[in-house]
Formats: sequence, structure tokens, C-alpha cells
Amino acid sequence: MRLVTLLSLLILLISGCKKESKTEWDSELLAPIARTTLSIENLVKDSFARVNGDDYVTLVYNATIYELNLADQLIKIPDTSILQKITVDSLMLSQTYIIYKTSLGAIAANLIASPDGAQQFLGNYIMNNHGNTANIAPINGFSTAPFAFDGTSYFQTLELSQGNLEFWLVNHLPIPITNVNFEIRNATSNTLVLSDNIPYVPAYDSIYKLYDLAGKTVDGSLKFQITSFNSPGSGSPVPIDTNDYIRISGRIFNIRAKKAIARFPSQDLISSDQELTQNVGERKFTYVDCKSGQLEVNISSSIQEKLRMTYRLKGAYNRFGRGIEAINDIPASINGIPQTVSQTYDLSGYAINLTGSNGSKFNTYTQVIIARIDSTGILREITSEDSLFILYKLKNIKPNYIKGYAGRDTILFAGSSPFSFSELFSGNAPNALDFKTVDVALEVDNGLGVDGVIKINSLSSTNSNGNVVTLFDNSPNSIIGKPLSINRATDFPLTPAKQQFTINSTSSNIKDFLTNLPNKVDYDIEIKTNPAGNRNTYDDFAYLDSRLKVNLNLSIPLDVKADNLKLRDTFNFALGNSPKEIENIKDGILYLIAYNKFPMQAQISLLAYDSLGNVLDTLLNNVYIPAAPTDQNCRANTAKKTVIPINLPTDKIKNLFNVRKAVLTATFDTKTNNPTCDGNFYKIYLDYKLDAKITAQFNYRLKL
Amino acid sequence: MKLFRMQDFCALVLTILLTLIFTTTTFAQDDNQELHAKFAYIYELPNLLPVENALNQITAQGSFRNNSNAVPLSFSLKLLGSGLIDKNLKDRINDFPGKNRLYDQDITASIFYQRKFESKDLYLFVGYQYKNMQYGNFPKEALNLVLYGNKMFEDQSVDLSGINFEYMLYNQYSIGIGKKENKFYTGVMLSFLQGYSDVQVKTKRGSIYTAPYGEYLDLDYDLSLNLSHEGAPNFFKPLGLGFSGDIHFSYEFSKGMLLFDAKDLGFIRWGNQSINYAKDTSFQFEGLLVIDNILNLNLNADNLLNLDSLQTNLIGAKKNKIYNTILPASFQLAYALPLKIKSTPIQLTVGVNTRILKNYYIMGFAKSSFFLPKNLVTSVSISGGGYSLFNLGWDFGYYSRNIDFMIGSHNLIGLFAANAYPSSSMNLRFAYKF
Repeated sequence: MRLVTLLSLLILLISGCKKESKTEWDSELLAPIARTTLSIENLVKDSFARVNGDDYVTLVYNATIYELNLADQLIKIPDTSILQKITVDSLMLSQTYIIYKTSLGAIAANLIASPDGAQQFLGNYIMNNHGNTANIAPINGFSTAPFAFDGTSYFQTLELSQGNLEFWLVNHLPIPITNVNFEIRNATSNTLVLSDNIPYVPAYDSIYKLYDLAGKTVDGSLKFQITSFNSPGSGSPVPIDTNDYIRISGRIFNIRAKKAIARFPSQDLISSDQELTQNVGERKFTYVDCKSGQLEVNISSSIQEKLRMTYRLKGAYNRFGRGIEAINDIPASINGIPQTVSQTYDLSGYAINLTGSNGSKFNTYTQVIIARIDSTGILREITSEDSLFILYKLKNIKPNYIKGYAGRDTILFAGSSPFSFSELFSGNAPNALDFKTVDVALEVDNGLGVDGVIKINSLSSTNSNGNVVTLFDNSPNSIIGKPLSINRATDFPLTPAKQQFTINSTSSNIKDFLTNLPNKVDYDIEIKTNPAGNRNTYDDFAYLDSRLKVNLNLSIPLDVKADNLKLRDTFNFALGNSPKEIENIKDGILYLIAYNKFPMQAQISLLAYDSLGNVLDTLLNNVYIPAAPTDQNCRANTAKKTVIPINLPTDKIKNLFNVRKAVLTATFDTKTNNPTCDGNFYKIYLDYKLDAKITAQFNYRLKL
Repeated sequence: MKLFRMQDFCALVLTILLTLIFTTTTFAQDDNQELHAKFAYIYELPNLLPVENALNQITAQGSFRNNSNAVPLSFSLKLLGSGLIDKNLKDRINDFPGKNRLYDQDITASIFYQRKFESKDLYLFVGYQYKNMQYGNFPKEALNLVLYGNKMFEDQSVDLSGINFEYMLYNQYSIGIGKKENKFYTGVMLSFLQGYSDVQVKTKRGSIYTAPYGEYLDLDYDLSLNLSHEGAPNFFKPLGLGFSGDIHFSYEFSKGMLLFDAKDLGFIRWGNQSINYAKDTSFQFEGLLVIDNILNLNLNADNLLNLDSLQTNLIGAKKNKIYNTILPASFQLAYALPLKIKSTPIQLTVGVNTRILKNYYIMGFAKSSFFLPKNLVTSVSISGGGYSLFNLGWDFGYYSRNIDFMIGSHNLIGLFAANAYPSSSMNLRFAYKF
């Protein structure tokens, strides 16, 4: 009928216009109006058809009968809370200097003041010979008044775990001094901090001594005193200068206090690597790539000084190379009540090394804690017992990837899975076809980097009527009831390990299993991971979406016998869109031109339907279509053409006014005009089809 | 668009009415017959004729002319109007010889005022003409395909190449001047053309093959289609503008008069609202054309061409494109010889004319006008050429000092054998002189 349009278009263009009234004439039109093809797509669902090199079609169907997300089980990391206490191991304080100096004139004056007449004489002698060269007589039992040292601007009291006093005695007198006794006492408690005796210091010479102050308690107010010293005198005349002197210098340094009330300088009170080890059973992970998760750190401080806390998760980096580090201020404890700060770190996207600080551990996070105080100039009491309490909470850790040793597991699963064999075909094909061979393989697809063993305890097919066929396999390599080793996947890139275990149709009942037309498959399967245990290679891995799939792969060559095989197609078919249009058709003939390339004869039927699916007319009913001729290999190379006329008198055309669809049904039987192929199985090739073209020869009244 | 328009009809009626009015009011007898050629009775009447025996003249004229090698009047009328084109008519058209079906058809209505400036032998012309013009050239098989359908061409290919068709409507506003110098008269007319509808179809190449049983159709064509507009045309809307010129020369010999006329030398340029479709394609139609439910379309040119899918698939995508129409100019060379047979004045006119159209042959004609008593005149003519075969014509008229009236046809056979013979025409002319 489209020819009508073409012709009408032509004449309209010729006349170039439209009219109110009609010019009419009768025209005998001959044109195609519909077309359909019954092909392999009407036999099987095309998504399951595979074509071999010679266009020979094989039906391929892969059904996953079980899919296990082992990774979800293997790399599950439980929430963990760990409390750690970190004490202040040392308090660093500033070094302190003590300087004491006394001149020969001052010594002479002390001698003069002595009640001892000899001492008085000697004092006067020295004073009188200032600037002269004279012999100085021996001095015995000379002492000095205490010298007060006020260090309270630095500290009030120190209980030293470590500290040194550097003592340097300079004798700038013309006479040697002997048996020098000195002492250092806390001024308020008068407790002795240090005392010593220096036996001999030559004239114009000095001596250096270093004292260990560990364990001493030192006040900020100290007294230093030379309690006595002697001199053998000069023995010969020496120049006497009352400005000559004795000088004692002391430096307290390298101070570490167990307890101190002091004005502390800026310092790291705590600086240490802390390890946090999770207990995940037998599994030993060396590396985790977090898809999500949080690390919550709660820090409580009993230290009376504000702390600047630096927290760093060692060996954790995101894809931009950035680590996890946070700096927080913790307020000073008040009246001994610890202050707490909480911080939550998002571990999403972080890859974390779990081998600890020395790289030899498992499941171990390493963090660096630095607690620093800044110098405030305020007296604070800090003791080495002051502590930080750190509570770590690892929560909701969901790894993308883990590496290490995944441990041993035995997983048993039984259930059923949809398996619709009949849906591979169209229409009644599964019932109407007899297959020459059926190849089935059980494929295990291991997406885990873990060795395993699978055992199929049982496999059975159940159809919609409840009929059950249990698979058995009597071959030496039976897949039923025997452990089957599964190789591990390889990484970078992830390549699942696939292994196929063939089910031989000759030694098993797999054909019955399939021709049962199951709609589900029941399974009982056991899987063991790492059956050999820990090999200490720690190269197991798993991705979060790693799967272990058990597939049943069918490969059915379409080498068939057909008995009453129906192929059917519905196609658009209309003589016009309205009675007004179709009434221009006076009468006519439809031709069904069939090209059958199936090596099977067919009976075809053609039914016309309206838009509601009601049958309007049976245009053809079981009309014979001969099979395509076949060669010596029973291969059809050319289609057999058949033209079937369908008379459409006027009354029949009226009946088809509302036709919108047509259904062509071809019923095939395996018979052929080639005697060598009779009754044999026929291979179905991709180019096999039945093309049906419907043309119309209408006496049509054209109206312009 | 309409094939036969109200404007056509009105123009013809107006002409007839004007003729009747002037006829009834100014009819008078003139016995002053002179033995010299009369312009009014040559074969094709030019517009630039000088006024005779008066200073002013108003001329109303209407004509229908179909010139074809195969299209009889009844076919034209049914195509223009309505009715069943039956098998006999189709067979008759098919029986005419020739590989191509050719026709040109004009419907014209005009009114002219002419003024003679006697002192200078100068003539002024002012006029208006309504023009409805179409011409076509189709392979015979193409027309048969349309009329009979493609069944008769089963397993054959139908040639659709070289189709050329144009149908235009325009108003022509003219001003002209004529000058007589002794025996030589020349006139020139310049016209402004206001086109308001045009369809132009051409195929460079085309064929359609119908496979046995209509299994498939092979279509192959290179088609261009120009339309001046979409929708209904507006008589007053200047969609196309153009100019044309007419030239007339005549020379009076002692025994006759030689005339040369050239008409419609010009063009119309259709504006940027024009629509162009072009498709150079070749495809096999197997009943699964991308145009689904094509019968759902209301089959008329306007709707047809407004449907994007159809345009794209059959005639290409719609574009706006300015295009030109070159008018099919006509030329005439004639010699008019006044005679007297047994006291009856006769004017014998012979000549040739042609038109610039493809496959248009030079038409030869001879016409004999008999000046009867009581200022009546009748003419018979024969002609052959152009697109037509043999034509027999007859005119009847009346003339006086003030009146010049004539009605007739150049194609009497086609007029009376409307189903059987191609070509037809009707002419009506009334002139009032004062």
C-alpha cells in the first residue's frame, strides 16, 4: 500500500495542489506490505546462541548456582577498643649556675677577725705586705660564711631523676690550698644536698669536678659554704697581692626531674611510638586498604599544664600520599581531675601498614604520640607519675583489600538457585527437540587470593512439577562427592582463578538432569580455605568484592531432531489505519512468499489480529512449505521459495479493516528430500531461517 | 493550493460579464470595411496591438489553453475538478504516440487600457493580467504508472527520469509604449510580476522496479521540489517578484502585414520563504520502510510535505531556499494577407510560433477570417506543432467602430471530442474603443 503513497505523491506533485472534490481512478497496485523472519532467534534466545566458525550454532548457557562473598567473611575486622597509659618519663629543666669568689684581702680580714692571735698576726702580715714579696705562713682551719644562692625564679623544688653539678675551683692565690671542705644545703630545710673535700689545689691553679645529683631533692634556695680549708704557706717569699682570689663556679645541668615545682621550659613531655594490635583470630594481616572505618582516640591528661598533642598513624596513607595526623590541645588538669579530648579519624580510603613499628608484627597499627608543653613562666608541679590515658576505638572497619594470612575456614552451604533451562528456548523447542549431545561443566571462579578446596556433596534439578533428578557421575573424575582443589586468584591485576570440571554426558545422567527442564538447581557444597594452613608467606589477599562463584556451564550444539517444532513470530500487519482508507481497496490478492532455508519441512499458518489481540481472520492454515534442499553433509545452502496466494474478495477485505498484527506460525518436522539425512540429527546453522514476505496486489481506487 | 481556483473562475466570469455589458450597450454597425490587415484577427493576439480607428481602447480578454500530445480536455477537467477517470480514458491517453507526455496549460484573464497619442503616432498601454500557468513533461510510463498502477510493470522498471513540472500563479502589472513610423510599428511592454504560488518539480534521474509478486520495489531517483510557500496561497501576498517584457514588431506591406511578437521574456524570483526538498536516493522497499503506517497520512500535498518522516525518507529534508522561475517565453512570426473573395473580405494569416519549453515543437498555423455582413466576422484555423498534433479552430466575432468582440477556440476537435483528442482551448475577447 505504500506504493499508493508514492504514486499519490507523484501525481500530487504533478497536479501540484489539493482539491475539495475528488478525482478518482482505479489502479492495480503491487507492493510488499509486511515481512517477517523465523530464524534461530525464534528457536533460542539469541543471547544464548554462539556461532562456531562454520556458522554452526551452539547453545551456551552459564548459570551461577552459587555465589559466595568469602571476602566479606575473611576480611571482616571486628570493632576494637584498647586503653593505653603513657607516663611523663622525664621533666627537663633549665641549667643553673652558682659562682662564689673570695679574695686574699678578704681572707686576711677574716684572719684578723679571728680570736686566734696567730691568725690575727697572719692577717695583719698579709695586709701589711700587700705589694711586697714576703713569705706567707701556713693557714689552718679557715672557713667562709655561707653563700646564699637563690634559684627560685627557675624552680621551687626539684626531685631529680638525673642531674649533674659541674664544680670548678680556681686558686688564684700565691699559696696552695689543701683540704678544702665545702657543702651545699637547701636553705629552708638546711638539708644537705652535696658536700665534698678537695685535698690540694696548687697556687695559681684550678681543679674541676663533676657531681651526680640523681636522687637529690633540690630547693630553689640553696646555701653554699666552704666549711674549712688549709694552706701550707708559701715556704719562700712570694708576691703578696690582696686582690688575688679563690673562685668556685658551679653549674647544675642535665636536669631531669621525677617531680618538680618549676617554671618548665618548652619541651616534649611525651614522645613515643605506640602500637595497637587487634585480635582477629587466626588471621594475620599485614596490610589493609580501608573502604570505610573510623579510628576514635580519646586522650585524658592528668598533667597540670596545657598539652599540645600530636597524633600520627604511622604507615597510613591515602591515594594522594597523605597520612593521618592531627594536633590537638589538651587543657591542663585542674585539681588533679584529668581533662579529656576526643578525636575521630576517618580511615576511608587509607591504606595502612599493619606490621608494627619494626615491620615484623601483624594486625598492628603504629601511632606516634607527642605531648608538648610550652613555657608559660608559671610554677607548675609535674611529676613523672603524671600520665596520658589514651583510649583507641577502631570502628566499622570495612576493608577494600587485605593482605596477609587469611586463616582457615570451612564454609558449608546448601540451597537452591534458579536455573531455567526451558527459558533458553522459544516456544515449545525444548519439548520438540532432541539433542545429539550435551556438554556441561562445573566452573569454579575464585576471586580470592586464597587456596581452597570445594566439594560438591550433591546437585539436583527440580522442574516446575516438582520432579527431581539428582546428578550422578560415575567417571573417575567425578565432580560429585570429591574434594576439588581450587587455585587462588592472582593480583595486580586481579585475575580470578577459573577451573572447570567437566560432567561427561556418557558417564553421568546430565542429559536427564537437563531434560527434566529444571526451573531450579538444589546444591549442597562445602568449601575450605587455606587447607594447608599458614605457609608463612603472608601473600593471601582478598578484595571486598572478591567472589567465589560456582557456575554450571552448558554447551549444547544445536544438532537436533525436530518433531512438531513450532516457531512463531508476531509482526505489524495493516492494510490501512482506518476503514476510510481501506475502503479504497476494492479487492485483491495477498501473496505469502516464503523462503525456507531450514532443512525441515513446515506447515505454516497466518492469523490476522486487531489491536486488541482478537483474531480477525485465518489467512493461512497449515499450508505446506517444503524443506530446503540439503547437500551430502545435510547442510542447507539455498532457501526453497514458495509462493502462496491468498484471495481477498471485497467482503474479506472489510473483515481486515482493523488488522494491526499478524502471527506466522511454522511447525517443523525433521524430514527431508535428501534420503541420506532422513531421521538424522540436523545441525542448525546461523543462516537457517524462514523468510516470509507478504505482498499485496490490490485493485485500489486512488482519490485526489 | 487548488488546481482550479476561485480567482480563475472569477476572472473568466468577469471577462464574460464585461463583454456582455459592453456588447449590449455599444453594439453598432460599421460598414466601413477596409482592405487591410486587421490585427485583431491574427492567430495569437498580442497585447501591444495599436488602437485602430479610435484614441482609447479598453480590452478585456480571457483564455483557457491546454496544449498536449496526450491529455484530452476531459482528463484535464477531471484532474482540475472531480470525476472518475475510467479505463477507456486511461487507455485513450495511453494510445497516443510518443515516449513522453507533454502539456502546457494557461488560464489568463486580462484587462488593458490603450491610449493613442495621434500627433506623434504614439501608443500607451497599461494593463493587468492574471496568469495561471502550468507545464509538464513526463515519460509515458510514469503517467501510466500513476493511472494504471504498477501491476502492469511487474518485473519491469519504469523510467521516471526527466520529469519537469511547474505550476505557478501570478499577477502581472504592465505598462507599454508603441510607436508607429510610416508602415512600421513597434511596441515594448515592461511588466512587474507578483507571484503568489509556485510548485516546481524536476527529476534528473528516476526509476521504479516492481519485483515479481511485488516482493520488493527498487526506487532510484534524484528529485528536487521547490514550493513557494506552505499552506494556502494568498492572492495579494507577493511571495515571488519578477519582471517580464513583451516586444512587438509589425510592418505593413502593400499586400499584407508581417508581425513578430515575443511574450513573457522574464523571470520570477521566489523569496526566502520558499521551501526546497531534494533527494538523491536509491533504496529497496520491502514492506519495512521506515515510514510506518504511511496510509495514516492524509494524502494531500500540504500534509504530505509537512510530515518530517516522509520528507526525510522520500523527498529529503525541508530547507528554505530562494529559487527562480524562468518564464516560458513565446514567440510568434505571422503574415496577414487581406483578400477579397466574391466581395467578401478575407484575412488570411499564416505563421509559426513556439514556446521555450522542453520538447516543444514549432507550431505552424493558418487562419482565415471572413468579414461577413453586419460587421460579423468568423474565422477558421488549422495548426500543428507545439505539444499538439493537428488542431482545427473556429472564431466568431463582431466588430464596429467602438466594439471588437470575439469568441472561439483553436482546438475544436479537442473541445468537442473531449475524451478522445488532446489539446483544447477557449478564447474570449472584448474591446471597447472610444
